Amino acid sequence: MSSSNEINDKQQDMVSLIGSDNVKHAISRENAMLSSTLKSIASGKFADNKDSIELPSISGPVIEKVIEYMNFKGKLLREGREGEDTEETAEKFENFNIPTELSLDVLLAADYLNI
Amino acid sequence: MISFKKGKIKVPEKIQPTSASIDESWLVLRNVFDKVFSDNTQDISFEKTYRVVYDVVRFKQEAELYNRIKEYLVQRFESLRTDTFSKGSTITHSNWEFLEKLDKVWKSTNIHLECIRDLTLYLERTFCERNRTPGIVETGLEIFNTCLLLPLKDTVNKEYVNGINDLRDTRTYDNPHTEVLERLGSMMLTILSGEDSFFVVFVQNYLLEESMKYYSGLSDSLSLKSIEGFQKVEELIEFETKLDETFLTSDAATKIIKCINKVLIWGNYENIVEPLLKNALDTFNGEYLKKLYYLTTERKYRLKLRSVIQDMINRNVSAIELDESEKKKSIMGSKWTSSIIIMFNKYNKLLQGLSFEVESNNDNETKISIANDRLGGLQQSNDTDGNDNVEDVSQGTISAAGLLNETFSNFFKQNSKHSAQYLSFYLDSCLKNTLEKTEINDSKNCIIDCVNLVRLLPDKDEFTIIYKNQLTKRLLQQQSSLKVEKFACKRINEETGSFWTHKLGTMLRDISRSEYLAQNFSVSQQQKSIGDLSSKDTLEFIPDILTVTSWPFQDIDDIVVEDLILPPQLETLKLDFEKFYNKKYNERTLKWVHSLGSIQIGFQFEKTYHDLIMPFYSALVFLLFENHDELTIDMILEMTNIPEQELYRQLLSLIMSSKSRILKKSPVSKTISKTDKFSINYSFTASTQKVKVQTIVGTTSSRRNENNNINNVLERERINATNAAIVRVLKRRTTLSHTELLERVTEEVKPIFTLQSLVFKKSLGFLITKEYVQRDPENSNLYHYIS
Repeated sequence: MSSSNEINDKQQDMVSLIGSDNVKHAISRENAMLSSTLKSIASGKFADNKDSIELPSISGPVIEKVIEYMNFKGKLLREGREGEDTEETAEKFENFNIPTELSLDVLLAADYLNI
Repeated sequence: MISFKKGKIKVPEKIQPTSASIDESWLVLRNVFDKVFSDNTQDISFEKTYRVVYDVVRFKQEAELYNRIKEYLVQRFESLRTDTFSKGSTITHSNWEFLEKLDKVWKSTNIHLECIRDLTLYLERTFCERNRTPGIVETGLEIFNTCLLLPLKDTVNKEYVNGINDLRDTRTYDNPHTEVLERLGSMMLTILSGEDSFFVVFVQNYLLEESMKYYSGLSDSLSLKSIEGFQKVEELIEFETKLDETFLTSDAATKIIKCINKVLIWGNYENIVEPLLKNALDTFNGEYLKKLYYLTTERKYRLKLRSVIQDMINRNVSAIELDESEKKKSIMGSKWTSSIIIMFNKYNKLLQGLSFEVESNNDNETKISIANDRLGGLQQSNDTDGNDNVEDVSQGTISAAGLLNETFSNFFKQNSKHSAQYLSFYLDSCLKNTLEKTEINDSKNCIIDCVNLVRLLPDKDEFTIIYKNQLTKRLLQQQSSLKVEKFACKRINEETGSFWTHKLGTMLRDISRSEYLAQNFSVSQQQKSIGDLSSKDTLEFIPDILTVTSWPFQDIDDIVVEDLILPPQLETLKLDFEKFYNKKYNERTLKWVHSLGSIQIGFQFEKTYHDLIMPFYSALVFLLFENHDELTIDMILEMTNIPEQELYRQLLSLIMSSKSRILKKSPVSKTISKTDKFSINYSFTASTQKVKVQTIVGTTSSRRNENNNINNVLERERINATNAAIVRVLKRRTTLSHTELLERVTEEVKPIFTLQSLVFKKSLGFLITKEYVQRDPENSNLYHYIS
C-alpha cells in the first residue's frame, strides 16, 4: 500500500486518494468504485480531479485501512464469494485486523464513503 | 495464541464543519443545484458538496434540507414550464415541436435529478431510507409530474395522439419521431399518478378514443370491400402492431388492435365480414376465416361470428337439392345424404382448431346491432372487456366440431320429414356394396361418416326402425357382408345408445348362428346320405333362424303359412332340419316363414341355361311344372296351398316382369282369370347366367302401406318409450303438474326423439286407464303415481 507516484501516473486504472495528511494513496479504480461516493467523484462529471481524489475529512492511516479493506473486498467479489457465509470467508474476515484505536475513525470513513 | 492487546479507542478529533448552520449550507447547495440545472456540473466540486450534505446530516438538519430541496425543485419545474411551454406556444404549427421540446426537457430532467441524487447521496442514504420517504429522484419526478406534466396534460394528450396519427398517415415506424414517441411513452409510464402510471391514468383512454376516430375516418375514406378490404385491414393491423410495439405497452397495443378490428372489420360488417365468410364457406378456403377468427377476440363478436357461420352453413346445406330426376326414392335420398356428408366433412376440416363462445343469457347485449357501438363510448367497452374476462372463464367454449354438430342437428330438425329415412337409404346403399372385397374399406369410411350424422338426428328411433327394415332385407337376401354389417351396427350402437339398437345386434347374432347351424346341419345330412346312396344330389340349404322379437315383422302368424304343401324333397329337408334343430334346442319351437325365403333353381331353357333365384312361392309354382306342362290357377292352389292373394301376385310377376318372364299364359292378357293356363316360357333368355326373379312389389297402395307400417311401429315404440319415461319421472316425484311432467318427459326422451304432444297424450291416457297414474280428483292438472 505504499504510495508510489510513478506507478500512479503510469497506470491508468489507478486512482489516488489524498487524505488530510496530503499523502497520495493508490488504489485500483475498480476497487475504488466499490464506494458510491468515490464513484460519483471519479465519474468526471464534476470539477473534482478524477484521478486523485481529495478526502480532507479522512486521515492518512484511515485511508490506508480503507484501501486495504476495499482491495480485500474487491478480491472476494471477483472470486465471486462475497456474501457467501462459509467458514472460509468468515475466517478471512477474522484475519482482517482493524487496530482498535482506529476503529471509530474507520467506521466514520466507511459511512462517509458508503462502502 | 491470539494476544489481545487492548488499545484505547481513540476519539477522533472533531472535524470542524465547513458551515455549521443550515442556512449557510443551503446557500452553497442551492448554488450547486443551480449549476446542475444549467448543466455546469464541471464547476462543482463533488467532494465539497458531498461533505456539506454530510455535515448537515451530522448536525441533524436533514429533514430541513430535504424539504428545502423539494421546494427548490417545485420552483425549478414551475419556471421550466412557464419558460418553455407557456409562451403562447401551446398551439404549435408543427406537430412535433411540442413533443420534441417535451422530450428534451424530459431527457435533461432525468440527468439533472440523477446528478442531484448523487450529490446528496448521503442524505438519501440516511434520511430517506430511515424515514421511508421517497428518494430524491422519485420525489423529483413526482414534482415534475405535478408542476409540469399535469398542467400540460391536455396538450400532451393532443400532441401525442397527433404525433401517432401523423406516423399512421405516413405509414412509417422507423424514424426519429418514433424515438421521440418512444421516450415520451416511457416517460408517461415511469411517472406515477396515484395508483397507476400517467399513461394509464390520463393518456390511454384518450389515445384509444382518438385511434378509433382515426380509423373510422379511414374506414369511410377507404370504402373497404370483401376480401381485398380485409387484406387492407390486415396491412393496417400489421403496421399498427409494429408501430405500437415500438412505444406502447402491450396492453395498450392489444386494445388498439381491438379498436381497429371493431371499427374496420365489424364496423363494415356487410362489406367485409359477410362476403369473407361466404367466400370461406363456399370455397372451403379457411385462410381468411382463420385470420378473421384470430383477430376477433371480443366475446360479442365471436358470438356473432359463430351465429353467422351457423346461418351460412345452414343455408348452404339447405341448398342441397333433392335430385328429383331420380325415380327411386332411395337413390335420391342416398345422393342427398352423400352430398350432406361431403359438406359436413369439408366444414369440419375448415373449422378445425377453432372454438366458439357458447351463447348464454347474459349475452343479450350482443343483440344490440353492431353499427350502434361503432363509435360507442370507451367507458362502456372497457366495462364489457372486464366482463368478458370473467365470462370466458366461467362459460368456456365449444369446439368447432360442437358448432357443426349443433348446426347440422338443427338442420336435420328442419328436415325431420325425410332426413332419418335418407340417411338410412345411404347406409343401405353403402352396405350393399360390401360384397365386393375392394369396396369394404370405402364403405367403412362412408359408414363412419354417416353414423356421425346419425348421432345428430333428432328422431333416432325413426332411423332405427327404417334401418332395421333395410337390414332385414339385406340379411335375408344376403346382400351385404356380415362383417361390415356388424361394424356398422357397432358404430350405430356407440352413437345412439344401446337401447334402440340392441335388437340390431340380436338380428346379426341370429344370422351368424344360423350360418353355424347350417354347417352342422349339412355335415349331419352328409353323414346320413352316406348310408343312403339313393339321394346323391342333396339340396343346399341355408336356414336363417330368427328370434321373433328382434325382427321387425308385424305379426308372425300373418306370415306363417302352416299348411303349405311342399314338394317331397323340400318336405324331407324340412323335417330333417326340424329334427336336427329340436335335438339341439328342444325347448324352442321352429316356425317356417316361407315367404321370406328364396330358392335357386337351375333350368335349361331353349337357348340358354340359367340359375333362377326366385322367391319361395314363385319357386313352388315353378317346381310344379316339373311334372305338369300346363296348369290353371285352381290346380296350383290345390297343389301348393299358397294363399290366393299371394299366388296372384307371384303369378303376375312371373308372366309380366320384363326381365324374368319365365312363365307364359294363354290367352295372353294383363289380368289373370280362373280359366287361364300357365306353362313354362321356354323361349326365355337373358344375358347373365344368374337371373333374379323379381316379385312385383305392387301398386302404390302397398308402398304407402309400408310407410304406414313404419309410422305405426314408430308410434307404438314411441308410446312405449313415453310410458316408461312418464313412469320413471313420476316414480321419483310422486306428484307433478301437467306442464312439469311434459317438460321432464320431453327431456327424458330427447336423446332419441322429439316428443309430440299427441304421443304424450296417448301415453298418459294409456297409463291412466291401466291405473299406473291417477289424475287428481280436485285438480285435473295434477297427476299422481300409483305404486
